[in-house]
Amino acid sequence: MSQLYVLALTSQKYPSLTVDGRRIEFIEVGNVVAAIERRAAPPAVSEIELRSQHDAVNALFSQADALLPVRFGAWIDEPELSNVVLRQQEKILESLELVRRRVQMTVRFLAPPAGEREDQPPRLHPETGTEYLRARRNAQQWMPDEAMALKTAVRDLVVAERISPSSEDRGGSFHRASLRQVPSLYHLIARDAVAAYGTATLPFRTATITISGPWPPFAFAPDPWL
Amino acid sequence: MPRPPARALPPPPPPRAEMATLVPSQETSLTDVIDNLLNRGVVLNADLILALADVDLVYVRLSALLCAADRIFPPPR
Repeated sequence: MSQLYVLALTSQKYPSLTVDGRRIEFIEVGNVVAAIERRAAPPAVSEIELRSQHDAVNALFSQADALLPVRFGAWIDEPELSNVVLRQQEKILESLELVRRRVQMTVRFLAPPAGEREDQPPRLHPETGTEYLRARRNAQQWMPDEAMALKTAVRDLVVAERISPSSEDRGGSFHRASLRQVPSLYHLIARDAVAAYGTATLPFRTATITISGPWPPFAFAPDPWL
Repeated sequence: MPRPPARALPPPPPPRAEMATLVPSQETSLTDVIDNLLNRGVVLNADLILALADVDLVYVRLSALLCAADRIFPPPR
């Protein structure tokens, strides 16, 4: 029996489309619309599948005014989808309004190896839960010096901002050569402000800062913990 | 009577491909694909919520357990 594989949530129905051999339909779930595929099994995590889903979400994003991508692997049956969406419906609708006609730009900072610069992110080596939570909060708030200048340069273009903690401090193994990744910035900007954002951030494109986009607003989904 | 100079047309909008050039390299693109799809986006599955919590959830539960133990066991005399 096929279940639903959910790619994104939107605020209105669109005609079905086929992307990369994937037939995508739109079904209403309360006041939200889910972009889904009917699949007999969930996709395995692989680069091919990830790229295929990314392409599909981008194709949906080019059609939809407001779209929230769903995290990879959302293979569920219809009652469960209704249950989960209806429980978060208010937050989802708020987020859809926030991202309407907007795109995400991603700024990643790559820090040189520890000891080569003074502004290092706080490390997480807690002995108690309180210390862990304090260190985690500090790590999330920490930004390299260049970030503040970049934030100032794009201040007038940015509608909303999200910050992710360092993948290293989250126990990840995200290394690129000898560089360590530190917090990433996600900026939500108007769709027609991409060129201006690109110009404003041009001086900041260095070996240790990468800026990419425009992307669908992946980082502006409602937080499942709130 | 001399003809008025032709009005200059506004510059054409930037081609859509220009936006794509903001993605600097294939390597970054793969980083973004992984980050976007595995770390971001709306979470719909309950089991995925548990999976993504990883260490944080363990800490929260551990903290709750330690707090509870603090209240269950009498203070040392």
